[in-house]
Amino acid sequence: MNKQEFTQQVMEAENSLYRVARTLSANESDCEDAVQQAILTAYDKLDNLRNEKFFKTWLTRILINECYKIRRKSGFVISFEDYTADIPSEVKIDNELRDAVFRLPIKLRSVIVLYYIEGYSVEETAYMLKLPQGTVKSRLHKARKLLKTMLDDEI
Amino acid sequence: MQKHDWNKIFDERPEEFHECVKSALAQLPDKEEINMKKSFGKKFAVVVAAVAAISVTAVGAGKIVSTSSGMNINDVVDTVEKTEEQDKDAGIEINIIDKFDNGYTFKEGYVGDVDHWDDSGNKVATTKNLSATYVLGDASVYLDADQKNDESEYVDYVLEENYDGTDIYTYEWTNKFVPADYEMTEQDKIDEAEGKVVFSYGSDEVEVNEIKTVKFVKDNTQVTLMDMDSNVDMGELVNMLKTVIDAQ
Repeated sequence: MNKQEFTQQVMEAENSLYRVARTLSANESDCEDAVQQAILTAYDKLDNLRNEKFFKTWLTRILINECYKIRRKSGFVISFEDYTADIPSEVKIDNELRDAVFRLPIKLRSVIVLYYIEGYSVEETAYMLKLPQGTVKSRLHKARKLLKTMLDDEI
Repeated sequence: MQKHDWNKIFDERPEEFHECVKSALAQLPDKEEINMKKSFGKKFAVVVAAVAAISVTAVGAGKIVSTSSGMNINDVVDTVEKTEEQDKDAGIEINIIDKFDNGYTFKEGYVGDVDHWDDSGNKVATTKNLSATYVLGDASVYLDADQKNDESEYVDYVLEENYDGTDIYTYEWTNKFVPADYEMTEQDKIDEAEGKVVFSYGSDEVEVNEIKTVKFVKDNTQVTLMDMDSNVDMGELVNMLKTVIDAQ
């Protein structure tokens, strides 16, 4: 994959990268830092990508790693209000669901965003989070249960 | 899900985010530059580790325990002529081979400073270093010419032969190139203590290489050829060094 193809593939994945990074970052600024670093890291390690077909999954895995690194540095004691303060809130946005997702612990939030919002399979989600598939399934189960409680059995 | 829609958790990404992505993409270097930097970086990491492990290089009263080099990728040149211009400017009077008989061909060269540090953390000397890379297919052999300190001496180098009045020395070792946060196993610690393996840091993954070096000294300059990938045997490397000696 050359520089031009890399750029093209990143641009195609941009919206998905934003949603994943924003869900795992404390604010827009951390989200932007994470994606910038992920792009540079991915390009530097492009030789490690075995199959270009899996570029987006591979890049997302690097992005998640960068998000966690930034969280570790900043201490990650972040209130729910801080998490959602600067997310653009349009009328068409399902604020109730969004707020519920952001109230989930980070471990559960990450599986929800990858599996439900981005539509990855359990296998892909497990790869990106470096978890066994069984752990992903049990976290999805726990997350659904919590969301159900928060959303008054509407889920 | 009945009333809620996963697709409506986020709006489109904000414009600021898009600008950040564009900015990161605009910073990407060409792949060739990255490969070049990695190639020199790996070679230098191996040499640095070897200096700390096998040398008793000394300047003044203190033993040199490490070396470091800042490298500017823009100073890497791609012809023998430009490299020779650089090395003459730096005071390294070495003629460089364009191509060896076994097919290894000059690819790129670089002349820079090497700082030498003692065990108290003091910089005790700065010398000039010429690095050149020769390639054959995917394989590389590295030529280094370093200004030699009068008191420096490398242990464990073996005098291989005298070639037309020039002594040729050889040395082989196993290098384990590991990531910066690599934690040594018990076996690693034993191997290092017994001198079986030299550890160098900074790789993406653990890599074990059999390193072979041959060298001669001309006036105040030490010239070394190094193979890190076991693509040439020691005899072939010695013959390559003889070609360099003949060119002086």
